Formats: sequence, structure tokens, C-alpha cells
Amino acid sequence: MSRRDQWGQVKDSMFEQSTTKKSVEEREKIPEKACALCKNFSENAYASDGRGACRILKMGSNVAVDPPVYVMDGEAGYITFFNVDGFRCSHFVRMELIDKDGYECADPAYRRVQRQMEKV
Amino acid sequence: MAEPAQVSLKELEKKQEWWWIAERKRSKRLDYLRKAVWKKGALGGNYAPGIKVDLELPTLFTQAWDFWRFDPIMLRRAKTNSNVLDNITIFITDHAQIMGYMGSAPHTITWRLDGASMVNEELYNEPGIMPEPQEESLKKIAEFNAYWGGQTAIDKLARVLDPEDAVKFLSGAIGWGAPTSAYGYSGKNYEYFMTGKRGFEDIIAEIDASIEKAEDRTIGLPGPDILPLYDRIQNWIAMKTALQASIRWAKRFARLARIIAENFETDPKRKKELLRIAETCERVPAKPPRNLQESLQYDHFIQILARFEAHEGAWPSRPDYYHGPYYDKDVNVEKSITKEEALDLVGEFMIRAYEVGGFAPRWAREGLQGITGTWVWTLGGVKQDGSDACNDLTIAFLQAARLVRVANPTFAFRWHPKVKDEVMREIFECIRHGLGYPSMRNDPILINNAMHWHGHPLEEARTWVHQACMSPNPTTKHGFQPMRMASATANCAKIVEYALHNGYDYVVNMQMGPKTGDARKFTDFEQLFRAWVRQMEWIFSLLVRTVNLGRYKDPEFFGRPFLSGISERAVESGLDAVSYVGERGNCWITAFTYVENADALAAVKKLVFDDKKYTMDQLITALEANWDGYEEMRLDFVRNAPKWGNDDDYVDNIMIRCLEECARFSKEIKCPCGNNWPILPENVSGNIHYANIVGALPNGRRLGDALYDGGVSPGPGLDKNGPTAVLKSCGKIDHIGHGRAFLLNQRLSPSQLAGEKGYQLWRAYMKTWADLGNDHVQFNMVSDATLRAAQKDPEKFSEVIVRVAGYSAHFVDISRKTQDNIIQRTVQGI
Repeated sequence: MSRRDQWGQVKDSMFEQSTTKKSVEEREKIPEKACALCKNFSENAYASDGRGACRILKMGSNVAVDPPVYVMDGEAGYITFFNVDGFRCSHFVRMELIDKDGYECADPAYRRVQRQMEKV
Repeated sequence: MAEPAQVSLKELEKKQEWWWIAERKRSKRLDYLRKAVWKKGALGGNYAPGIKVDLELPTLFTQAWDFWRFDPIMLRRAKTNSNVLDNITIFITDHAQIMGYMGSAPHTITWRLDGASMVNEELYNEPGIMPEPQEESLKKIAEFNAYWGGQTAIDKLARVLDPEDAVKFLSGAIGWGAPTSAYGYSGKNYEYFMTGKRGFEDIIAEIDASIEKAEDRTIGLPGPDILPLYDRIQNWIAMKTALQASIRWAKRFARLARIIAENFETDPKRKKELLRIAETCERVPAKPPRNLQESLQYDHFIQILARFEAHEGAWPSRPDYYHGPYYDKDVNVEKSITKEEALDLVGEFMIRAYEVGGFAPRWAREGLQGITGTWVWTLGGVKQDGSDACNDLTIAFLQAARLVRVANPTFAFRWHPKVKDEVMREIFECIRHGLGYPSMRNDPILINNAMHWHGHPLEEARTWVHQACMSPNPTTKHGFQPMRMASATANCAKIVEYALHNGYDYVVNMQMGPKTGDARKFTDFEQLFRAWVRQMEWIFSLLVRTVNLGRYKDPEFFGRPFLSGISERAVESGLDAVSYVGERGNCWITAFTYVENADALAAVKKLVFDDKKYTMDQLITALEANWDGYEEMRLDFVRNAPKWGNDDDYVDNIMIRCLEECARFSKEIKCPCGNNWPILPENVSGNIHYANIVGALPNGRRLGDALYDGGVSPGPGLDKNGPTAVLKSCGKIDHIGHGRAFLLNQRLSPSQLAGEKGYQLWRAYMKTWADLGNDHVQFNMVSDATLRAAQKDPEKFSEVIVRVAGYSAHFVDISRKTQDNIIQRTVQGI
């Protein structure tokens, strides 16, 4: 895969969420094993639309398919979103401490300030 | 909180509770307006309770945008905005004399839904801001997002950006901002529209003449030279449409004011005021202003109208200079209003600006905690002939600031040797009252700087205003910069971090910078420094590439008909104002978290390569562990490595060497106009936003610790040799040749600077500052005791203001970490 194609794949995954039409119901749903509840999810500091990167998996991974695709090497982390269902992901580790208050500023490791997270 | 009425003004002054004094001294009108205003700045990263997103504007906008889909983009935007301006709900606040807001109600924030889909998604997910009933609002927003997904300015730009650049930029590790004028900030061509020579009707006549001239050619002899004119005619029509809609919008306020006056108002004084408002809004912006109220209203309308078109994250302005002649005419010559009445207008002019706010993505809220944008208004300076530009309105603004005590706008004062003592005393009073503004700018240095970096001619350079917090920008036809994006903002602490980790970023799990070698194997300081230079060049290049492309494509992806309509070169050429054609260039890279580089490099040089106390292997291992388990070693790096700001050549020389490399590279990277990209070290509250994004550093910092607060300010508590040593360190920088400007935060002791003696001490300090050739300094003069009391009892101290970095904020609005960072700054005895 060329450099352009490799990074293009990551870019597409970054924009996928914000350009896909979704109903209110789909938007409001937080799965039991949502990526946002995982210790390995690092929230993006640039956009708080819920995007983030996995600290373990690399680009090319996909935890939404059955069976999940795990890529462990590469130059970029796997881009995922707070409400992606990680129930099949063997790397899911439930996080104990979640900061749902956005008063203190960006902390990719702990902060999950999306409104939908209030219900969790 | 009720005012402690039993306490005398003298006692309040002694306790430095200036906000109570302001309440007693300001007029009833100003008191009402100040208290009635809705604060839109975020509390830490969150919107204040009661603030709601406005859904009327996006509804009107989206309907019209879809309807006019076959028009070229600039015309489409002009017609779309016209639909908004003709139909959005307008309101008049009780006691107000200045009109205009972008939302349909005072507590609303506006939503720029054509800027970036990811921001739209963020808005959907944002807690607390949905209007009731929430379910209905969410449904509406989901529909908007479905419509706009893929067709916003950033969506379009992302399709053409190099994918690696796009991903690394959007990682959030090295920069922020959005490379589109949807979220940028525009300098204004004040010399075109604010000199009293023309109003919008005059500009429309100029546009009509241009259209007529172009049409003579497009129905004439065919040839390649006439082909661009077809597009330009459409652009001119768009500009005209935007200006006509603006006039109609203003006249809606006139009509509303007249209706209230003639049908509802029972107080004869207020009735008269409403009729004057009606007369004012019928006059401006259609025609040039004739008096102070019209002049302020004209300016305010233009600022709001620009925000109907784009987010406008800054407010470049020079109010004393452009409105001063009207103040003089009204107050001094014709005596049509009293000084007190003028002060009311000036105070309200500030409050109306304080009110302005749109939905900002979280990074912007965190980076500008407490405010909605950098409304840094320029005061003082010189006229184009070099004479002192200060006037009675300069003083009125400084006095009004102490009465209304808003955190936004703030002032930045262009100091020069001819500034009169009475003006300096007013400035000192503002600083003494704890406003944190005006910041002080060295006008002769910065005029030379503008000529050096961007080649602005002397007379044009002298018109400069702050384009955002710090950077000077002329207000002239070829000098003003209509589109500056915060996305050329570099998180510079990453430079040294990447140099130490072979370009890898452990926070975002990505190979970010070039592989400059395994730092464990570096055998001398020069190897590390070369890696630093390569990482610096990489970060700057990536950010500048995205901004350049954003600027180049903006007329195609966004379009600014209103801004073009008030810009001489656009009106003349028929090109979008944002087009780089005809602009001289005025770009800069905002260098956040810069000083960590000097302190980190000095620490490695001293403790690893000179003293050989540790090996590079040990250092990298400790940094990878975030110093965890290496506390003794960490403290050694904090205490026993030289730190910037102590007049210590060991570290100061490294700082200068880094700046020299940046200055060299600044001339190699070019903006679309072909001009340079000098750096401008400063932070807003980016030092807090990036605290959890920058990893451990050799200056002893851990992931999560606040970064240093200023552009060239020493680390909090690390400047141990007094204020003169700080100034001397900063004075070693070439404030003309090394970069565009250099932000210096200083904390002074309010008790030491009380009274006449305090003023004289400050004047002496300012003389040293100027003699050393520094270009900027700003002061916090609030005691630790007051700040700690405000942490304990925020309600009681809700009006305490502090200088954060390039802006001021109410202390209770900033996050705890930011508050602590301000308290930790060294209080300098001068």
C-alpha cells in the first residue's frame, strides 16, 4: 500500500463518523462495552465529537466486524469513536475512573464528556 | 452577592475589591447592562448554565443554502445570509443604546454549521446547551448534521489535503484551529470603511461602477482577458447583496426602536433614546457616521455582521483612533453630549462585545477559558505621520474598562516615547485595579518588526492593530490580512519531545515527526540539537502547509461576500477578500509552549553532556516512565539545571540559538502571498489544554503538569533572580529579527505598587523594559490572598479578573489547574 493510501485509510476513518447519516436513536446508544469505557481508548484532543485512538491497536484494525481485525504494528493508532461497540474486542479493558465533567481541561486518558456518557 | 454598602470606598480600595468600587462608580445604565449580559465564555471547558445553542439561525441558513444551491459559492452565501438577516428575531435590551447580536435571544450562542462536520457532531454531543424540549432539538440537530455532513468547508478541504498531513494535524498533538475562514479571524480594512469617508451605500455605488465597467467589456470584444470578469461580476453582485441585506437588518432595529418608542415606552427619557437609536440605525451602516453613537454603532454592526458570515475568533480593532474624532466633536467641540454620557456609550460598546459568542469546539474553549475569542482592542500608538495618536477617547476607554470590568474585550496599548503621563497613569490604574490589561506593546519595535518581516511600508505599518492576541496587522488595502487561522499554532513542546523519542508520540500512539535517531545513542548535545531543528522544521512545515492550502482554497470552499464588501481590494478587483491576490502577507506561526524547549535542552546539556551526571539512556528511560520511580533524578533536573528568565547565559544562549533557527526557517517557508512565516511565542490557556498531551520533559515536567504560561515567560516559580533578570533574559532576544512578537507575563505585588510611589516604580520598570527592546509585557496585580479566597468562595469573588496569557478572564471561570498555574507565577517585587 502506498503512503498516500495508508494514511488515506486513517483519514477516511476519521471523517467517516461525521459524514455518515445517523438517526437520533443510533446517536444516543452507548453499548455495554463502548470504546469510551475502555482503558485503552485515548480521546482526541482536537475534536470532542467522540473520536479517539486505541493505545494498543494500529491502523487497519476493525473491532466492529466479526471476527475483529487486530493490527499490532504500524505508524498510526486505530481510530475509533466513543460509542463504537467493542464487545468482540479482546483488548477491551473496562476503565474504572471516567471523568465526565469537562470543567478541567483535555485529558485524553480519562475524559469522556459527551452528553450521552451522562447516562452511563 | 450583595454589595457591602457599609464599607467605604477607601476600605474597599485597601482590600483591593475593585469590583465593588466599579459598581458604585458606574452609572445605573452601565450597572444594569453589565449585570444583564449573558456570559458566553466557557467555565473551564463547559458552557455556563443557561447558555443555549440558537437553532433559529441554522434553520434559516440551511433552508436558504439549499434553495440557492445552483449559485456560485459567494453569491450563494450572500443570498443565504440575507435570508437570515431579513428574518432572524432581533431584540433590544432594556437601557441599551447600541444594537445588534447574532443570536435570536441574548442567552444564545450561534452555530456555524457550514464550517466542519466534526464540530457539528461535537455540538450534537455537547451537554447542557440544547434548547428545551431537548428531544426535539436533538432531532433537529441530527437532521442538520445529516444535511451538512460532507459539504462543510473542512470536509471539502480534507478531501484535497495530503492524507498524512490531515491525520497528523487532526491528531490534536501538534496544533489546533481549523484551516478555513469559517473559524478563522479576519483583519479589517479600517482605512477603507472606518475613516468617515464612506458608508455601505457609497461602497455599493463603487461596486455598481465596477459591474458597469466589467459589463461593458463582457458584451464587447471577445478575448481571454474578459473571461475572469464573468466570475467577478457574480462576486460583485454577492458583495452588493451582502451590503444591502446589512442595511436592511440595521433598519429592522430602527423600526423596532421606533415601534417601542411610539407605542409602548412610557418613560419620556427612554422614549427619546429609542428614537435616537432609530435615527442611528437608519443612518448607519448605510451612510457614514456623524457622531460618537453612530460611529460606535457602525463599528458594532460591522463586527456582528462579520460574525453572521464566519465565526471570527478575534476582534482586531483600534477604537480610540477611529472613533476619537467623533468623541472630540461631540464632547469637546459641539458639547452635544457630556463626558459621562460618552462614558456610558463607551462602556456599553465594551459590554456589547462581551456579549458576543458562538459555539466553539472544545479545544477552543479550553484554550480560551472564560472568553469566546480574543477581543484584543488596540489603543494608543502613533498616527501615520508618526505623531502621538492618543486622544480623549483613549482615556475614556481606559476609564470605562474600570467601570464595566469585562474580561473581553481587553486592551493592548501601543506604547511609544511620546505617550503623555496622564495616559500612562490611566493605564496603570487599569493594571492596579487587577484587570490584567492593557498589555503593553513597544510601538517603535513592532513597527520596525512589521517592516522587517512582511515589508509593510512605514506609513502602513503605523496603522497596525492586534489581529488576535499579539500579532500586529496594518489596516490598509494591501496590508490587512482578511483570513488568519489559528491552525498555524504549534504545540512547540512537542519539538523537544519528538527529538528525544525519534519522532514518535506516545500520547496519540503515532509516528508523528521524522525519525531523527534514537536519542539514547546521542553522544553530544549537537546531535540532540540537530534533531530538535529537524523536528521544528517538520512541525512548522506541516502546519503551514495546511493553512496555506486552506487559504488558497477558501474562496472556492467558503466565500466571504460581506467581508469582501468592506475590503477595498475586493471591491476594486471583484475577487473574494480572502484571495491572496493583492495582499502583502502578514502570516505568523503562534508558538505555544515554547520555553520548555530552552529549559529542556539546557537541562540535557548540563546534566547529561557537560556534568555527565546521567546518561541519555537513563534520561530516556525516566521520561518514558513519566519520571515515575525517578523522583530524585527529576528534582535534580528541576533544581540544578539552568532555567530561562534568570539572566543566565547558559540557558539564554540555547533559547537564542533555537530562536535563530526558527527565524532562519521562517524565511524559507512562505505564505500564499510569497511572504514569511515568523514565529510568535505565546499561549492563551493552551498551556493547560496541552498539559495532558505533552509527555514528560527533561526540565522535570511530567505528563499532566501545566506547561509554562507565556511565550517567553519563565516557568512559574523558576525565575529566582528578580524582575530585572527576567527582562534581561528577554532583552537578549532580537524582538525584530527573531520573530513577530514575544509574550511576557509578569506578576506584580499590589501592595508594593500602591499610591504615587507605586506608579513611579512601575514607570521605572517600564523604562527598563523599553530600553531593553522588549516588545510586550502584561501584568497580573492581584494578590495570592485574593486569588486563594476566590478559590474558596467563588461566588463572593466572581468579579476578580486575571491575565491568563494573551487575554484576561474572570478568575472563577478558568479551571482549577489554570487558577493554580496563575497563583504559582512568581510575584516580582520591583
